[in-house]
Amino acid sequence: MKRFLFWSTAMVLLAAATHIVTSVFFPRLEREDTVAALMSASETNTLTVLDDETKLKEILRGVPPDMAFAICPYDISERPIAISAPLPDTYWAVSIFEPSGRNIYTLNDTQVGTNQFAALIVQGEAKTAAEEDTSQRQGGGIVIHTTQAQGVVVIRSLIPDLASRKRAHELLAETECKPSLTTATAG
Amino acid sequence: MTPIIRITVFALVGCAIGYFSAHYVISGQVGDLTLQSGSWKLWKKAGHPDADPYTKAHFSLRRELPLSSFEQMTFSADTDFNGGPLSSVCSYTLASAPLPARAWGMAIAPRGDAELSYISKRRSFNANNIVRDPQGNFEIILSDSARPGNWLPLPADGAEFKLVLTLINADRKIIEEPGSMKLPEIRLEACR
Repeated sequence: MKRFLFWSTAMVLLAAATHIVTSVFFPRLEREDTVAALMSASETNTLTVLDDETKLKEILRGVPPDMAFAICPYDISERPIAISAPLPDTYWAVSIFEPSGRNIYTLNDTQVGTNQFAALIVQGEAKTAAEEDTSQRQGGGIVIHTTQAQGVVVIRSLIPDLASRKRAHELLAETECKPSLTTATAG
Repeated sequence: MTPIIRITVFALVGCAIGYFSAHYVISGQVGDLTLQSGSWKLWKKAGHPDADPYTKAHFSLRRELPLSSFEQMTFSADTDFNGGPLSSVCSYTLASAPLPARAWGMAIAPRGDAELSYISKRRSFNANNIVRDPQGNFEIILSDSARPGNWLPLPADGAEFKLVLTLINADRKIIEEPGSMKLPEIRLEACR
């Protein structure tokens, strides 16, 4: 009886360990790989429009075909990164992902409220409630705080119809994503 | 049975139980992680910061980076209204009431990792290019041969596929109670 209990308990523990590895550990590696692939698809602190459908599918899976995408991997260990973009008259959104795959920020065109988006990504914790409020505008732009020095900005824009595909990509290409002239950080 | 064989069998059975139990939950086949409404399935916590590990695992293993439901809700269907798998050897009519979102897209996508070969550049319709009736209702005809109206060409080679409905900035009521949404009905018309 004791032997049966021992082996049963050991079996349950082994199954539980395998379950956790399969559902937590491996997926986390995959998520990091996904972001790493995104980050290596473009030069750091440079915007790349993903207008090649094959390349887009390789690095961003499960995305709607009616969306145009641009990415900007960033490294803000030395300088913040400044993003500015003209907004189309259709859906547009910016998202920021940490290397772990965590989505730390998303904002869409209606939330921006104007036809021009401007933001500064700075390293460090927000120190005040006002700083934590990411809608807080400073110097005409939104200041986004992140504790991670690296990450990737993903910008998406709706393509209303097939004839607008080229125009949607051209408008995304007008986005700027480059190190800021200011070296000030929030941390 | 020698001890080595016994331990090997024990290890294999333990790992198999752990692996397959995780696989079934991650694929959404068991548990309360997904909402099933007719043909359509929604991962309720997709993209949420407080998503459970299985939802995170589901999207991570598919190498997807979902956004939260406030930004985007993604429903997928791989069967018709009667439960038959969606296949390009058949034709379907998708009938829908107006969708409660700022924008939406309805696209054909592969069921697994294998890419589909398309016979046309059109793979989707969205809120901007669909033709509606005066009440805002619409129909999409899915077929491998050209049809009048909102024709969405099916992939070549008789491949099985799925439909993906993306709602962008869905109405708050739908975000809070996705089960209350009237989703499009996928009706089988005919098969070759």
